[in-house]
Amino acid sequence: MAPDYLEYITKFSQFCIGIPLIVGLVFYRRLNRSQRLLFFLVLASSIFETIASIMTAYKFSNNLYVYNSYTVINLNIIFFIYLGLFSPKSKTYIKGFLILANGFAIYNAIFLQPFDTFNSYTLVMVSTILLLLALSYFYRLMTDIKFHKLERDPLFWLSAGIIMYYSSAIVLFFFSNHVMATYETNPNADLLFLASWGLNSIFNLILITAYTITIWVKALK
Amino acid sequence: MGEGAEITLLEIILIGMLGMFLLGLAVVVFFVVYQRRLLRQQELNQQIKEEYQKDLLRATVDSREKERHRIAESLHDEIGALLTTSKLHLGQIKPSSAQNTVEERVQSSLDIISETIQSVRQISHDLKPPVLESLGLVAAIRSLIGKVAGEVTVSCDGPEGLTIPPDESLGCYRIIQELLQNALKHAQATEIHFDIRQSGRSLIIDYRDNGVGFDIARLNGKDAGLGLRNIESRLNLMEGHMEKVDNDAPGTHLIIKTYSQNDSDDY
Repeated sequence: MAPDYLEYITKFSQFCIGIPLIVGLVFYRRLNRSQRLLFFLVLASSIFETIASIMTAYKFSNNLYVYNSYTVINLNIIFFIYLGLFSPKSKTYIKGFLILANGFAIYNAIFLQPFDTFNSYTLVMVSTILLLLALSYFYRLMTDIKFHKLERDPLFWLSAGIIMYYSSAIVLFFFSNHVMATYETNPNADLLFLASWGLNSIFNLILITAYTITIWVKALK
Repeated sequence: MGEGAEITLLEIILIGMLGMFLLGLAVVVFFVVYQRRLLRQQELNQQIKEEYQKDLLRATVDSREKERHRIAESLHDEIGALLTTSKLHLGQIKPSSAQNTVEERVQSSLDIISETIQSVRQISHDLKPPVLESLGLVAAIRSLIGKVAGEVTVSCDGPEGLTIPPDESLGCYRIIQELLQNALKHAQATEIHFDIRQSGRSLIIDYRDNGVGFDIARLNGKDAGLGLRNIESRLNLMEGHMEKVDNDAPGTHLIIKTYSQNDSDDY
């Protein structure tokens, strides 16, 4: 049997999304474009998390399509946050890439992993894209002629959070089908399920902290 | 899947997640350290640049003050003295004075006024040589050389019809004036030669003397003289540069290059 604290960590992590939401509401007027977009992502995450919790409370058999929908919203909003980094010419290709990624998510939901099952392929793809976007921000930092204080750059905190969370989460998403299959065939194997998702929740707390700082930081003009 | 297989998969996932997290953390830390180093370097460069600009500004202000002091001295010692003398001469003329005394005083006053006019012309010429505007840079330099030649041999080669804007022409004239002064005052040169040529939009001044020479690195140092700083300041304004040619010959060989900022060629 898995220890109880793994389950508590997972539940605690779900509630913590309220922190960046409150910070965003308090400082909403001074947020710049990127921060506002992230605030809307946090808002969407809170709404989807609440819906999923209500469905669990009312004993719905499946709430995975709520999380699957959020995955696509997450990709699109973060994509638009980073879009400002690219030159007008690159933006056209980048937008085309976003359409392809969305197309794959839809294709996956229809043909590979039905919408009410765990969409590990889409999650791995989204994690890879978000990691690439965050790395492209850091690459730009290296090639920029003008340097600035990173502590005042919301994109730095967001990219740091994305790199730390998604680099670990991508491993879990990659193996999630095995974890799910093991858990479904042997419910006593909950240590594997809860330990892996518990660790993911700890890293998710780091991501939420990064989201909070991203929204809270007073951006440089 | 058995319990053993579950533990192995759990280990793989946990180690993989932790490993990837640490890798991600390392990437972030690397960029933070790298960025901080670059930022520190940029601030240091900015500080050096500001210090250098301040030095140049100080040199310009000092030079301007020195020039004002020289003009004030000329006005006081030459023009002032001449006019006072003239006033004294004219004051000695009384209705009761003899005719020949009056004529003598008037004549001496007229001589002094002519001398005053000559002095005013000299001061004005020093401020901005009229020949520079009417005949061009090379003629102005030849006129300047004419005043200093004697103990030293100074020559200048160059075409008369250079097409450079008036302010740049004055800038080059001042640079040559400083070089000449430097060679006579500090370098103990006995032979000085200027070669001036134009190549497209750039004007090239080739300067040689047989003096004791100087270290061009001093231009950026604290111990650079006012004259050298003046040259640097003027070159900066004209987006030009000066380089020292190293060869075995004694003395100094400099190449000064300035770039015309004006599109028009009609000056």
